[in-house]
Amino acid sequence: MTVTLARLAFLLPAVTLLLLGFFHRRGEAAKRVSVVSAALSLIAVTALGLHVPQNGMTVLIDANWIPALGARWKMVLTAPGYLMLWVTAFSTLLAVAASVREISAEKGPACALHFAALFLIQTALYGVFTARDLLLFFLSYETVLIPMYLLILIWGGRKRRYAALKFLLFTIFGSLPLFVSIMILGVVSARVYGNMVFDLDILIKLRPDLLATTLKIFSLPVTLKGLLFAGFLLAFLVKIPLWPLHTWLPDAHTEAPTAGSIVLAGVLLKMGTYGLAVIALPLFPSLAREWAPFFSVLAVCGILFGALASYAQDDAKRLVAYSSVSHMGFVVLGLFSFTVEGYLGAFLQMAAHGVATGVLFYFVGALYRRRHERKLTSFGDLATIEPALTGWAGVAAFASAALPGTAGFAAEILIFFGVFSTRPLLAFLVAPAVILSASYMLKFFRFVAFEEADPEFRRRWDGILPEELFFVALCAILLVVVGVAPHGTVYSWIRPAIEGLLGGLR
Amino acid sequence: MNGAVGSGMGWLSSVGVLPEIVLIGTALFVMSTEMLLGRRQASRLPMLGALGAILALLAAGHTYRAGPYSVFLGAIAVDGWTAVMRGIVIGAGVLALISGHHSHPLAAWASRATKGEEEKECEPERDGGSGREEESFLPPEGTAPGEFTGLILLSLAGLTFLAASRDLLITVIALELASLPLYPLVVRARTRAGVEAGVKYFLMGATASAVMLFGLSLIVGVSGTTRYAAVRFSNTDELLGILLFLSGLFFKIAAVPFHAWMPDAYEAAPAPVGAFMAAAVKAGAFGALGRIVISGGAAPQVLTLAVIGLAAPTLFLGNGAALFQQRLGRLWGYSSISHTGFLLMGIAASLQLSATGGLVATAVYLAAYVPAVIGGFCILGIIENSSPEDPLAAGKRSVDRLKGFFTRSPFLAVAFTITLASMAGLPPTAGFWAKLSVFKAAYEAGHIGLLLVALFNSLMAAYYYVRMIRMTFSDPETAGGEEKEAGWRKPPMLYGIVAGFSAIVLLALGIFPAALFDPIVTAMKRIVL
Repeated sequence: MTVTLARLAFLLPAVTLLLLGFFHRRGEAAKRVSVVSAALSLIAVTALGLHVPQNGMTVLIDANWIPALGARWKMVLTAPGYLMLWVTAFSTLLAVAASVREISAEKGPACALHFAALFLIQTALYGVFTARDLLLFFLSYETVLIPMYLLILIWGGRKRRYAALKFLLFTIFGSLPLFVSIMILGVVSARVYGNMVFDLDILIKLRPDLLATTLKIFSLPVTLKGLLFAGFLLAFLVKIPLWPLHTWLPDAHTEAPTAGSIVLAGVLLKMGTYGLAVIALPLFPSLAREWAPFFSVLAVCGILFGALASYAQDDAKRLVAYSSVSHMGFVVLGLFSFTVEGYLGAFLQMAAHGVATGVLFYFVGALYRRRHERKLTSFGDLATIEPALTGWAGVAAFASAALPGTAGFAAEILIFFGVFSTRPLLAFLVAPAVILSASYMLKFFRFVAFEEADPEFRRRWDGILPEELFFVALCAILLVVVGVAPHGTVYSWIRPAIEGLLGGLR
Repeated sequence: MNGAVGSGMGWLSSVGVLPEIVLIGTALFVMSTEMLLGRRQASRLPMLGALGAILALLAAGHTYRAGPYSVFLGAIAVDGWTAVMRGIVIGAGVLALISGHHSHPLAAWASRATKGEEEKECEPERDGGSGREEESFLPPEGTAPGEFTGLILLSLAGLTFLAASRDLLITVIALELASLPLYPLVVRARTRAGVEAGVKYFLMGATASAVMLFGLSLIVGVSGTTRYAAVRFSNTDELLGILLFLSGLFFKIAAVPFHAWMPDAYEAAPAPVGAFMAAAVKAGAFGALGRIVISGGAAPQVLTLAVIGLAAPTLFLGNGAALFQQRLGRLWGYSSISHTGFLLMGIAASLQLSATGGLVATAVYLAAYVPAVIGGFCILGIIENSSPEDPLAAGKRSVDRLKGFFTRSPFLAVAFTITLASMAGLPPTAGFWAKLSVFKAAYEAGHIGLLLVALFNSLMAAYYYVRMIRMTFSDPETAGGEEKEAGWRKPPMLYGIVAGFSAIVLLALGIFPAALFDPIVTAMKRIVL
C-alpha cells in the first residue's frame, strides 16, 4: 500500500513531464495538465503521510541498478525525508499556480518547457529525499541543475543570464568534489567488501571518518577522510548556502521567475541541509564534531549577515532572498549542535522556511506581475486596496520573521535551546538576529501594505484572484497551526527518527 | 568454441573477420552498383550501407559468442575488446550513414560557392528563395551517395581491424584502410575551406603514417618480429619505436600536439562525415591503443608518463581553446579534443592497473561519447544548413547561429540540450557515468594530479557547453528576424531522427547505466592475452 502510493506519487510528475511534450502547441492545455498533476501529486504525498514509519524506514524500492559499480536503486521513506517530500509537493503546486498566471500560453513550446522543467525538478527532488544509495542521490541531486538553469535563463528578470550562469557554475563547482568523494568512497568500500558499495546504510557502518589513509597530492600529504568530508561539505554548503558561499543566491532568487524562486528557496536549498543531516554528518561523525565549531561560527555569521543585508535591500525579492541566507544559517547551526532540540528545530525550520518563503515569493510575484517593478517603494497601501490578502500575507511574513505562535518561532527557539546547551556563547551572539529579522520583515510589510501607495501601483492593481487569496491564506494557516502546536503536527512525528539519526552520530 | 562448431551455422562464427568481410562486401557492392542506378535509386544507397553495417554488427555478436579466440596465426584477436570496439565503431558508422542518407547539403552550397564567390560579397541579402527550397537536401549532381557509403564502409572495416589486430604491421595497414577513405570524404564539400582542410589532413596524416612506419621499422629491426606480444619495452630502441608508432595513433585521436588538423576538418566536413570522424575514427584509434595495452605486456613507467603527459595538455588545450571559440564547428572540434584527453586518462590508468580495469573505463567513455558527438554533429548540421545565409561565408558560422533554435524546433533543442549535458558530464545522462568511470580508473591508478586536472577541466567544459545551451534557448536575433523566419528551411528529417535517437539513448543510459557497464564489463573478462 505504502509502496504503491509512493510510486504513484513519484511517477506522476515524471509522466506529466513526458505528457507535456504533446502539448507543445497548446499552452492552455499544458497549464491545465500541470495544475491537475501538481494537485494530484500533493494529494498522493499527503495521503502517503498516513503510512510514514515513526522510526526507521520503509523501503520503497531496492533493486540492482548498476551491478558493475555495486550501485542499487534504493529509495526509502523516512519521517524527516517525508517532511521534505511534502514541502516539495506543496512548493511545486504553489510554483505551478504562480506560473499559470505569469507564463504566457501564446508561445506553446516555451510554456510546455516551463512546466516540464518544474516537473523534472519535482521528480528529481523526490529522488533526493528518498534515495539511500549515494550514486542515486547524486544523480537526483544534479538532475535539478539544468531545468533550474533554464527556468532562470529563459523566464528570469533583466540580469537573468548572469544569475543563471552564476547559479550553475557555483553548483557545479560544489558538486564536482562531492562526485569525487562519492567515487572514492566506493573505491574504499571495494577494498573492504571486495566490490564497490554505495548503499548509505552500509557505508555508514564502514566509518569512513576513521580511515587512516593519506594521499599525496602534488607531493603534499593529505588525509583521505578530511578530503572526502570536505567534498561532501562543499557541495552541501554551497547549496544551502552557508555564508560566505552564498553569493549566487541573491542573484538567482531575484532574477528567477516566481515559480523558480518558490522552488529554489522552498526546496532546492533544503537539498543541502538534508544532505548535510542525513548523509555528510552520519558518514563522518567524529570529523563533524571536530569541525563543528568552525561551521557553527560561519552559520552565526550567515544569520547575522543575512539579516543585516536583508534589511538594507530596497528590492522586494532581494530582501526575501537575503532573509533565506539568514534562516538557512539557523538550520546549519542547529545541525552542528548535535542535540535532539537542534535537529528537531532544524528540520522544522527546513519545512517552515520552505512554506513561508515560498508564499512570500508567491505574494511578491503576484505584486510584480501587475506592477512590473520590484522596488519596495513601487508598491504601498495594499492594506486598503486589498485588506484580506494583506492580512494573510502579514501572517506569512511574520511567520517568516519567527514571531511567537508561528512555525518559524517553534523552530528557531528549539535551535536556540540546542545551541545554548552546547555553545552558549554562540547562542548569545545569535540573539540579535531575532530583532533583525523582525525589522526587515516589518520594513517589507510597511512598504507593501502601509506606505502611501505608488500611483502606478494603484492604477495597475486589477483586483485579486481567488486562488491568490486561497494560497496565501492556506500557507498562513498552516504556519500558524504548526506554530501553535508544533509537537502534535511535526515534532512527535519526526522525533523518533531524529533520535535514531543522532544516535548514529554519537 | 566446440559447441559453436556443432551447430548449424557454427562454421560462420569461426570466421573471425566475418564483420569485416560483410563491411567490405557491402562497400564493394554499393560502389559498383551506383553507376548502374539512376540518381533517385542511388540516393538510397546509404541506407543499404547502413543495413550492411547492421548485418556486420550482428556478425560481430555472432563471432564474439563463439568465445575468445584468435585467427590468422594469432594476428587477429576475436575477443571481448574486439567485440566492444566493433560494437561502438560500427554503431557509430550506422548512425553516420543514416544521417548521410539523402543529405549532402553542403555540396549544394559548394556548387554555388564555386559559381559565384563574388556575387555573394556584392549582394549579401539574396532572398532565401523558393529555388533553393527545391534543391534543398536532395543530392545534387556530382555527389555520389554510393561513393560516400562505400568509403565510410571501407573505413569502418579498417577501424574494426584496428581493435582486433595484435600485429604491428596489420595495425598500420588497418589504419591506412581507415584513413584513406577519409581524405576524399573531408573534401566532399568542394569548397575552398573543405579542400584546405582536406589537404592539411592528408599531408599531416601521411607524415604521421611515415613516422609510424619508422617506429615499426625500429621495432622490427631490433626484435625481428611484428607481434605486440614480443615487444620488449625494456629495450630503449624498442621503446622509442613504440612511442613513434603510437604517435600515428595519437594523430588520429587528435591528442595535443597532433591535433592541428582537427578543428579545420570538423568545420569543413559535412555533418555525417564529421560525425563519423569524431566518433568512429576516434573510437577505432582507441581500439588500437587498447589492444596495445592488452597485448603489449607490462608497460614501463615512462610510457604511462608519456600518456599522462599527452592527456593533461590535451585537456587544457581542448577546453581552453573551446572556451573562447566563437565558431561553432571549431568549438565542436576543440571540445572533441578535450574528450580525447579524458579518454587518454583511461588508457594511462590501464597501463598502470591490470589492462582490463582502465580499458573498461575507456570503453564506457567511448560508448557514451559516440552517440553524443554524432547527435551533436547532426544538430550542428541542421543549424548550419537550415538558415538562408550561406554557411560557408565568413562570420556566418559563429555560435550565435544557435540563437532561436528552441523557438524553431523545440524538440531538437531539447535533444541538443541532453546531448550537451552528456558532453559536459552532467547527470542524468550517459556522459556522467563516462566521467565517473574514467575518474575512478585514474584514482585507482594513483593519478591524483591528473584527476585534479581533469576535474578543473570538467568545470571549464561545463562553462562552454552551458553557453551553447544558453544560445539554444535565447531569443532569435531581432534584426531581420522575420526575414530569417521566412528563410528557415525545414531541417533534414534524418539528421533530426539521428539526433533525437542519440538523445534518447544518452538519457536512457544515464538513468539505467547498467546497459552501458554490464556488456562491457562482461566482455572484458573474455580477452585474448
